[in-house]
Amino acid sequence: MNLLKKRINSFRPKFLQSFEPIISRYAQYGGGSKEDKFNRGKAFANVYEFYIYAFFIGLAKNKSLELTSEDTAKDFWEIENWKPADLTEQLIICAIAESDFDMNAVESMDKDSLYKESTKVLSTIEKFANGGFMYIKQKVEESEEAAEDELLFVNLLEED
Amino acid sequence: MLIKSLSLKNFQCYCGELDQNHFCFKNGLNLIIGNNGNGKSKVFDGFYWVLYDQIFDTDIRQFTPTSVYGEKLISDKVTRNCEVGDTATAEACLVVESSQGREYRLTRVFHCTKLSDTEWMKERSILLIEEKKTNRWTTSNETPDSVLNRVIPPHIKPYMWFQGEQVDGLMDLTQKSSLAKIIKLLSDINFYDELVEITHKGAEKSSKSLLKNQKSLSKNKEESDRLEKEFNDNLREIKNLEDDKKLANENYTNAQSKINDLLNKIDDAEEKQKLKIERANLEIKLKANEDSVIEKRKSFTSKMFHDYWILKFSKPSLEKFGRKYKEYFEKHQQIVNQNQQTSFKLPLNVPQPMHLHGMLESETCYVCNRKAEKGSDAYQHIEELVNRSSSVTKSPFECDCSEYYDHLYTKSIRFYQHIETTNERISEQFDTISSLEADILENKSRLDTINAELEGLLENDSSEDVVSEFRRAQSNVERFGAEQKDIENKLNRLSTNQEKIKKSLEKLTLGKVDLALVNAEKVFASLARIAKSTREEVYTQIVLELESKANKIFEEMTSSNMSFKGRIRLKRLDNGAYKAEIVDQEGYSVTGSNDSNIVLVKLALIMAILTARARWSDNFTLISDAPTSKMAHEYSTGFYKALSSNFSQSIVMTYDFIEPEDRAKFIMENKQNIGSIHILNSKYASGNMNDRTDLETSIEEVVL
Repeated sequence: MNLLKKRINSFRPKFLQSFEPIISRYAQYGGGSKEDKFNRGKAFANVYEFYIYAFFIGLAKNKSLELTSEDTAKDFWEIENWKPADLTEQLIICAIAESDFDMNAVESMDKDSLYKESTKVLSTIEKFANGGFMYIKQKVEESEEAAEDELLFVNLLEED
Repeated sequence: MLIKSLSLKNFQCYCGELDQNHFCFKNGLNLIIGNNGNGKSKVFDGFYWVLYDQIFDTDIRQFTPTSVYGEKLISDKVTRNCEVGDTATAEACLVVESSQGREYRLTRVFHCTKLSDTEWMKERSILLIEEKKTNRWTTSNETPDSVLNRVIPPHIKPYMWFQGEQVDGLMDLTQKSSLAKIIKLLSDINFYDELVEITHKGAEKSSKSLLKNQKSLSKNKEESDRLEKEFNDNLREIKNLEDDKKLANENYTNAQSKINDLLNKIDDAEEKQKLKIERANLEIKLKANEDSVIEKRKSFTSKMFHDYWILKFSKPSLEKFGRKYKEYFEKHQQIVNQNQQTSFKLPLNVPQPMHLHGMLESETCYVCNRKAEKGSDAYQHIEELVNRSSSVTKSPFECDCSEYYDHLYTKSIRFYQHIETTNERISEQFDTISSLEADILENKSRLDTINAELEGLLENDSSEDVVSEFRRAQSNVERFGAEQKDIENKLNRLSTNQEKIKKSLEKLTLGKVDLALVNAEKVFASLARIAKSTREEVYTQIVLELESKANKIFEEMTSSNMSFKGRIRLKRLDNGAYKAEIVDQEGYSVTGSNDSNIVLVKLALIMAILTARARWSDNFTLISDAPTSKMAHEYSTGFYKALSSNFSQSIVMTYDFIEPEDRAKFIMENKQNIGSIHILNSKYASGNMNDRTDLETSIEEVVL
């Protein structure tokens, strides 16, 4: 497998620990069946589903939150395990587009430099996803009624 | 076991020795035909007395022990002729044969000694059980119960040995629990119930053991204690809520039944039927729409992913990627080309090798359509291109990402069009929901109108009480329906909370939790789920089989009657129980069926239960006294046909076919299914038909 693809696929993106309550409120930790998801009142069957959603919401609302080495963050599953695969690829495409990752330069780099350069893409994924979580957290805190609405995430998508 | 014969000695109206009052039975339908008062029911009593030492006392309409019934059991003619000090004896002897061909003779004997004109000394009745060995009867070594229970297992006795008048009591169609009771009794569903209980207890126990183990390894004992307490409190609350749920389901079902019962009281049949059908249709539509709205709302989050709604705002980024990719591609291509001999302007494999060979052969350049004669610069250039294709060139890249980028680019452009129509698709979904919600409102309003109209009909022909009862039942349906939903939500919340507590306890655990306990918890939880769903599936399957078999028998019994009979439906109620009802072709419940139709439905269900699964009908004899007493002639004939085709042996006491012509016709039509026919006749030696002490019953076997 291409080294860059391997690097991206094996990445375990992080989220700030402070977002854990909101993630466990809406996503089913450890996955499970779709039916379980509805039975337990969760909007997302997996944490990665919520992460993908948060990324695109962050991107749409231009909300970004860069993680620093001082932040307490948690990681989870490698990107290659996320589903649907089509959507995961769109996320990578957008992250490449929105970062200053040099598509040509990496082709001439050794492994270490390539890893360093690709970090720009991976940081962009984390930046928008955490920005998205921050945005969702604000919305949930603003109104408990909205937080309880089963259409919360569709409504956020519909907001201009 | 099947029954070979019954002989009676001085038993009730059967005066005389065993060989004088002898019934010989064969496989198939055995009929004992007699007019009222000719001793049919006494034959039924004879069977019963041998096995259970009880006799049906017609004065009090219940079975009475021999010790209480006393000398009345002995033929009046015999007791009348007794002097003080004489002993009178009654006997009944049953010969049965097991499926392995073993024959048993069961003889019950009762002695009574006359003390005075009004006083008798009764002895305890004796049961003698003998087995036929090498053509001789010898006392059996088996215990009486083991033999008696094989003649007729106690749990199926009420359904295989019954009097016509008992049919109503055996299966009360208005009681929703009666079917469940019979299914429980006659099928192997008990085994599944036990399995559900065992696995449920196992799951609970293993979960507690795991929690205990986790607690012992906890880094924060206090917090673990708190969590465990919360877990156990929740567990108790879940149990209570499950009980509440059962109760709410029960109440809801009762309220629904109440409404149906009250509606059935309205006399204006046509109008009522019309409104009932509309009401039922609306309720079905309303439920479907409500379910559909819930489903659609649930599917929103799924559509965000699978219909790619969340890409709605990503087009600018995808376009940005497109531009970035093009820039990349140009630069990348330049490097590729530079890596080849710089004189080549054409990319690798352009033209393809087969065309290059063609150019060399024809000494023509296909690119510029000019001559390229052998030895010329042009010819040499084409030769170099051929060699270029086959030469292995070192890649100018440390890591060639072109294929990966190309793949991503292709994927990105695939979504352009889709993203543009996202808003439309989301709106469509919202529009569908709005339209369904509007339908729901409209249906609800029409339902209110129908209910008001039905109330009006009730008012017109019933008392105020019925109307207020109807209103109360309506409001109960709403109240208990809401209660059901509320309990369901609470249960969902609690089970989510339980999961959270488990996770929190896990996090507090230091060191390794006992793997065996972890596995046991998982295995038992799965087993409990599997057992529960299997039990449900098996039960549903039993009910379906039962319904289909009952309808087959019902059709068989009613085939010669042209009037409307309906179809049997076993309707599942909200509380999980099933209720038997007669429905029309459209599936609507039919009320006001005639008595004989209802008896047939009940008999069809009883026969279906006995012939299904365990196939009791193959190995035991159905004995019934006057089962057709409420039936029209065609129905009776149908019943006998169904009986003979579904049971290995049946013995029926009846006054059907008392007329010789009817009997001859029936025999001619069903000869192959008839085991035997006995005709009972009463005779009074003195000619005084009011003198019971003069009564003798004669048995005549019809030659088939």
